[in-house]
Amino acid sequence: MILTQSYTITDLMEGCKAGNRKMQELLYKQTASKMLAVCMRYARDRMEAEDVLQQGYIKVFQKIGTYQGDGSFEGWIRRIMVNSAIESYRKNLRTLNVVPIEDAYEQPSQGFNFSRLGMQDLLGLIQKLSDGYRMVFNMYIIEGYSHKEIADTLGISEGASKSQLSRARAILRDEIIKMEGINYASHAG
Amino acid sequence: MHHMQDKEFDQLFKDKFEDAQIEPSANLWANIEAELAPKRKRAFPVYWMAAAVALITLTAALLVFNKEEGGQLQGRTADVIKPAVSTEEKGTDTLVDQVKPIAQDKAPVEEGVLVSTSPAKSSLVAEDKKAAQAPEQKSLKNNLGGMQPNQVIAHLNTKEPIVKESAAELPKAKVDPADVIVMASADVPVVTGDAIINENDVADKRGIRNMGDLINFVVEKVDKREDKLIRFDTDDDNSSLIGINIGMIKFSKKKHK
Repeated sequence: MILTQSYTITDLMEGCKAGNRKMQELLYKQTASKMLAVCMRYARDRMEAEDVLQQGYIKVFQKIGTYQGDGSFEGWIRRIMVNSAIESYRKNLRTLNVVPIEDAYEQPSQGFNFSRLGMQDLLGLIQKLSDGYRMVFNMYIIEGYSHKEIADTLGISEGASKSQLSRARAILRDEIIKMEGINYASHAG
Repeated sequence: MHHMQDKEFDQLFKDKFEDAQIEPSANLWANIEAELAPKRKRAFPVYWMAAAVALITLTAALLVFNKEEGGQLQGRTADVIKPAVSTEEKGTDTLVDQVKPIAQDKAPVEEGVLVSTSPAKSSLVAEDKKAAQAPEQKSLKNNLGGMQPNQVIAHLNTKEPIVKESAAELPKAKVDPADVIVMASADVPVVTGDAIINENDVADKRGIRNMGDLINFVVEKVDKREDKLIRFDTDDDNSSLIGINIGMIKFSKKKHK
């Protein structure tokens, strides 16, 4: 990603506030790949993620006047992306895929080697989670929302948020172990 | 037995996604830019254009048909007046205007004469009255209908006898009784005209209770013909269309007598 060195993110922000299209494009080019990584965690696939990203940037440029400089500008954009993803989830609230309980068995006692797993692998696992689990997992673990906030935002109970989180964790552990096993097998073979 | 704690597990995920970057598709900025661009291409949205076209068409149609109607009326009233005017030679409006004040001035002075002349006059007036009413009825039979045509004819007729009188008796200036009586006689057709109008306009007297009434009212104001551009039957609460008259295309449920 090549960016003109002469602009700081503050310059870009000011330019965007003035509605400068060139500055908007530069801000996009500087932040889009990070933001797409955020959107990807919330979406089922790349197409949905890019849709969320697009709507998120529209909102960023529309609401940039309301950014008061509290907190990092990138953090502000990131929050808009997350909100955009939540909005998209609520809009096409698909029937919650309830994962049968026997799918997530008690994890074996050995730890995982996370270093072997790349971000793309983990992203793939998150995207495979059912929509509700994925939302709670992302919001709680990566974005740091409280269960109360998640409950209010998604319109579920706090208890549901907590149970969905532990279900999501269990499923991910299960999947990682499977992956590790494959990796181990391929290494051994 | 090492059991990874939830916190540890969560932190590992967090770290992995901390600085994650995924390059978006190349065309995504173009999409965003397109959505950001102000949509000024259409200054007037389609439905506004449609509304404007509809309004212009309706206005044009009303103007054309009203004009047509007006032209006809003038033509016929002119015909009606013509014989009276031709027999009396001078039938211009300016003459009438000049005569009138003179006649009024003389009125008090000629009081005595008024009585003596009145029998003679009354026959004359009677004739005038016939003359005045004949074309009136003719025009009614001609089914010009509507309230304005009637009124127009009535006014023209009131002038007609005055012209006669003035031509005949201008030197003596004894016009006034005739004038007065003729005015009275001229009022008669006006009254009958009103009666006819009232019959037609019963609906308006009831006030506007529904959409049909409202449309009827508006059309009444705009379209003075007997067969309105559009007319609704509003006797029951769900207004039903009973008449349409767009020039050549006419539709009417009501049987006209």
